[in-house]
Amino acid sequence: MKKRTVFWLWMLAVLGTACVYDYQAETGNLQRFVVIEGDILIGDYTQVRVSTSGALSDNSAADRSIPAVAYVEASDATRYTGPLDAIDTRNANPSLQYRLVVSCIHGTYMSDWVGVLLSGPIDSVGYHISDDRQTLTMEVSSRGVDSPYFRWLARETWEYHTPYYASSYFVRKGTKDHGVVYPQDTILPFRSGENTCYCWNDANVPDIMTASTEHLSENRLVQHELYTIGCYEQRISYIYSVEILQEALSEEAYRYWETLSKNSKDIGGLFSPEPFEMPGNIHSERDPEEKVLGYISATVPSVKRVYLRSAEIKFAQIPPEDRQVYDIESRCDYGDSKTRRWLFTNGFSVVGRTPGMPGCFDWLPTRCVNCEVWGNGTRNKPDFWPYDD
Amino acid sequence: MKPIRLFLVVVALLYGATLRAQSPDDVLAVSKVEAEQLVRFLQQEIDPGIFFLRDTSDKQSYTVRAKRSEFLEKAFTRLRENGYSTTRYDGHWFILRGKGLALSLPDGYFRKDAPKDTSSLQDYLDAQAAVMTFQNKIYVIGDPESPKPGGRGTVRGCVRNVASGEPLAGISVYVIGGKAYTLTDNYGNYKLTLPAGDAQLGFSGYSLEDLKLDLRVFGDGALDVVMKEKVFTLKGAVVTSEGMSQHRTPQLGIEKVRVELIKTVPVVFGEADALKVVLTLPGVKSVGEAASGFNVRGGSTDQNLILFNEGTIYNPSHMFGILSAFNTDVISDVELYKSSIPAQYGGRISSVLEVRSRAGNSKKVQGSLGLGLLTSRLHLEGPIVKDRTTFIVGARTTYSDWMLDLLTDRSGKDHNTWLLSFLPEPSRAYGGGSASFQDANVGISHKINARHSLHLNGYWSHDRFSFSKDTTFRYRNLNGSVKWHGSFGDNHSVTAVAGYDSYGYNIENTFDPSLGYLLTTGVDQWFAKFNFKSSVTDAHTLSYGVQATLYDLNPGIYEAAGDSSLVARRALDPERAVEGALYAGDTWMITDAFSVDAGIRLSMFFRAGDGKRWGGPEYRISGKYSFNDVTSVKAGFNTMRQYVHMISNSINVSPTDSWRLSSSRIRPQEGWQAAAGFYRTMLDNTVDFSVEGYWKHVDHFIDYKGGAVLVMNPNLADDLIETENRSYGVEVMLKKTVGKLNGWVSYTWSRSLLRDMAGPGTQSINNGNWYNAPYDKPHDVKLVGNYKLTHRYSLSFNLDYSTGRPVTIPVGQYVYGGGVRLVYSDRNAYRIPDYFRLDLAVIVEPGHYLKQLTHMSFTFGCYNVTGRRNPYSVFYSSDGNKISGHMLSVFAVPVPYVNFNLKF
Repeated sequence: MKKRTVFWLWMLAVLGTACVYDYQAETGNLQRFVVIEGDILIGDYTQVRVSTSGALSDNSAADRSIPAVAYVEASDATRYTGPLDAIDTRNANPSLQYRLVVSCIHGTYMSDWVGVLLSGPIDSVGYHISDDRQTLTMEVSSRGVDSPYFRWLARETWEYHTPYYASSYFVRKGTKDHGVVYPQDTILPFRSGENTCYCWNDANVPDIMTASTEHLSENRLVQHELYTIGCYEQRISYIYSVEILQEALSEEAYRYWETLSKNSKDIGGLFSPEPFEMPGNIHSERDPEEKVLGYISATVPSVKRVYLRSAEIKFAQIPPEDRQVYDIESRCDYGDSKTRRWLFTNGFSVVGRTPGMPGCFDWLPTRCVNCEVWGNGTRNKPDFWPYDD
Repeated sequence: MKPIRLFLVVVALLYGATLRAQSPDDVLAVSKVEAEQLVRFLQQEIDPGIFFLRDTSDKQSYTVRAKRSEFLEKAFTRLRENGYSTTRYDGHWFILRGKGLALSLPDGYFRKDAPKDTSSLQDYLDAQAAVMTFQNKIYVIGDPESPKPGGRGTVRGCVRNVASGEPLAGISVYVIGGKAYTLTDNYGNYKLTLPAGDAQLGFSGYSLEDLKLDLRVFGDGALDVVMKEKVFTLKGAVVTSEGMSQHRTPQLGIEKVRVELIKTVPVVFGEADALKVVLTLPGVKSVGEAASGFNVRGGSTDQNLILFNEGTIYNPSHMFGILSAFNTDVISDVELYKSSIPAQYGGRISSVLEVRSRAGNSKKVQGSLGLGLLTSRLHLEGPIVKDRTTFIVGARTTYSDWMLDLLTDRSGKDHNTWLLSFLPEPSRAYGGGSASFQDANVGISHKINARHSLHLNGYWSHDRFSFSKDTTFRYRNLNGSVKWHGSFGDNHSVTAVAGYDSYGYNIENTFDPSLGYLLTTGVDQWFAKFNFKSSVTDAHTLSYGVQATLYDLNPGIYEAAGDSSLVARRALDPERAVEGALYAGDTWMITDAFSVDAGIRLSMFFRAGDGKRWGGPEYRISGKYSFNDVTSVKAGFNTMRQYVHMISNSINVSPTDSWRLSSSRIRPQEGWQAAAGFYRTMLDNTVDFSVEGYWKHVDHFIDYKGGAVLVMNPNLADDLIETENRSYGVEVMLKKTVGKLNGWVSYTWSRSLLRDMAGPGTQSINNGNWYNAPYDKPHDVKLVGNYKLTHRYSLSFNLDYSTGRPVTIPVGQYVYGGGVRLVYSDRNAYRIPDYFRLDLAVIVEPGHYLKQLTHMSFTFGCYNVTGRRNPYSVFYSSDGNKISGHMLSVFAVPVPYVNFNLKF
């Protein structure tokens, strides 16, 4: 048989034989479970979140938090209290055992007593870029102290800019601006720091990031990969910052997180492990058989924040879907007030004066110059942000 | 010239008879004489009418000792064993070396154009003549002058393929119109006791032409038989029924598939595959397409003992399970024991799958070449010493690497690629996947003499695949064995085998250079088996033996791969143990209608290291009662023990599974099965109907705790859960083995459930309640058929329906650790949608041009003709706001194929 014939037979036989289709199982009425999150951070504030699980078809982003009160109890009976998002465990003694106690509408829940594990220092947080320059992967180099099991939480903050820089803005007649009510439609120059082009956004990295040095010759991780960012993402379009919080885990806690991670991603393949749930360490006071989701650890965390400028990454790529933005032609208002009013009510914003045409301004769709529209961020610069742009 | 040592030992032993009395009870003996002297002795002492043509090349010496009445037959038997024929014609005996005296002229003898060469055509005509010659005469069994007292005679002999001289195993030998029935053993030997007088003996086997021989039985005698392969004829007498064995043997739940049938069943990519055919049998299931393991009667994949020429195959798959490890060019047949497991076998709970390779053509060298979509194959066989020593070698390799490259180049972009979709989500993002395998078989058979033979077998396979350029999986099977088969006297035979089996796998991962590792595990075992068979009387056939296996397992070595790896070398302690067994069994034909097979196996397991001993008796009993020739009932009960366990938390047999031995903390699996069946042969002996029901129970079956660590875990036992397994079901089958249309249709209803032996509680799986085994598929319909359109063209079809397998799926979601996580259902509480598939194939056989040197055959087919999207698994992904369910279908469209074979 000729090679070409074989080739085409192959193509017929193989390409597209396997497919992934949408599938929805009939799961009936779902029992909702109480979810408790909040590792006890000795030397820091402990943040607790109490929520319930939802149906598979529910919107994942929906907030299912429920009101609750919580405290951290030490084995010497000391109680550390505070609001849910800031229980003051800064001065707790790391040599004691701790547990988290939560009360909510569904009852009182408490975790098992856990010992405090000291997280080693984070030597460095770095990154590497893939050979094809399509992704950037954040890495951490660390040392373990008490335990060979690591977990990281990453809180990201980034500054981003709109595609165009606007030097002026439009004020409708009768509206107040900087304490002044203007009787006519007016175009004013931005004052320093008030520009709509610079915004900040933040998020938690949703990946479960764990590692074990159990089988390594040293309790040390070198450039361990944490999570990956695509080259087009807004996060790394200008200045990116991440605060990495490192926890030391017990073996059981490590397994819990590993199982959780596997159950979320490594399923459905030919050789994939079967998804088996691992019970957590939180129990209901009223009904010990009740299934409660979550695992509470206690650790003295280490924290490291890093900054990354897009200039040093040199991706300099524009997402395909945004490319057209740069091809948009600005519209000139020719100084005409009716045109200005029409542009303003039809989603345009002023960019700046039209070169060579006194009294005329160029306008662009608002999202091109307003970062709150462009990227759902905020114009409030975080306190810790060290750069002035 | 050598001094003639002729000892005429005439011993007047009994009743003081005198030398000249010539009583039939006189004992005559000759010792170490040449053929000529032996014949001269016969002429003097027994029959002067014996004519002998001396063959100077025969240097064999003969020793015969028997009563006068049996001396002639004994002497003739010895002569036949050394290549002489004994023909009776016109009241005289003619003893000639080689072919017997032709009693009629061959067809076309007087034609001028009759071929005189020794080409294949001549061979063919010789073969035809040989078979014809067989059929057209009356065979005298025993000595007419001195009929055996008791009015019965035992005929024994060997059945061979006329063209290749290979012994034929599993041939039904029976008296037409009578009750006597037997099957030839693995060496083609049979033995049947008949009443004195005229009888018609039938021989039949799949794809062989039926043979009928007229016998006149006076006493015991030998009759070697040759059979030829069926050239399909549209009309013609049909008397065969393979199902006949159902009514004659007491065992139940045995399925035998010959390679000729395997080649007709359509399979994906057209690569004829023994294991895929096993999957079409009732009671055998798999977890999905491209799954290499199989589940027999609710058992797990590691509960099947897979023997290839006596060696154990631990991983019978290639290419993620798309192909099996057995090369159909060299195998002869496959036999699956799913209920009555003979006492000779042990060590696994559910079933025994015996795969045997052929001995090779003893007449001439021949071979075949095959080109399929995945593999190319070559096999050669032939005599090293004609009619004495044969060889068979086979090899396969893939050429699919480039194809995989093609696929993985599209990595990450979409899911519509084939192999990528097998992978867990994260791996799909990386290109550079590849897969390949090679395997080779070698077999040498040497006939020491008619009673003793020696067989050497070797098998090697190697698989390598990677889903990304930095992770490579490899695994290897290696088996070697030497087997001696001998018979002593007329009633005793022994098979002694010694061999070595090895299975090993490793994973090399350099994805993260500082964590680069090489993980290696493996199983090595040495074994010796002595199996004896004795026909004590006509009614009893005893089998007994002793077996030993020495295990040396490497549960895991984890070491650094690459220069920058920080991985410290870590090795789990090797596991060593000896498994021994003594067994004895008897097949007792109490009457023609009622027979019983009973056996006991004492198995013992000594674990080195922790010194733990396990063991005990295993009982195997089954019985049959026939109401008449075509209606029987059977029942059986057997107990089994299993000391080796596969540790795996994936539903498929995956290359990363490892094997562990029982220890003080991992108990052996123990189980029993009770089964009963009804069998009826109908419609002129063309259709066999059977219903079998079973109930099975296994204790200490291994399941896993949530979060279990199965790799490199020195305290593995802590992560295991012992469960009990309960399986039951009914299998109904209609099978047609003859005619233009043949095949089978079966329906199975079965359940397989597990329960945590720890009892109720939140820490137990599903609170200690019964839950579905991952391979529990209650309804199952299978239809396999082949329809002969003409001599050369046939159409095959294969239909498979089953209930979807149980799965554990997410039933809810919650936000935790910054992301959306899934809440899972109870274990195996849901099912994926039902499975349905229809495959069709057209097989074009070679033309029957005898002078042609090569013969080509083609198979065109289509797998999953209806293009049904059969689910393999379901999984879930999140787009950040909503979690959506997906279903992975491995062969979601019709998959056409063509396969080409060249025989030479």
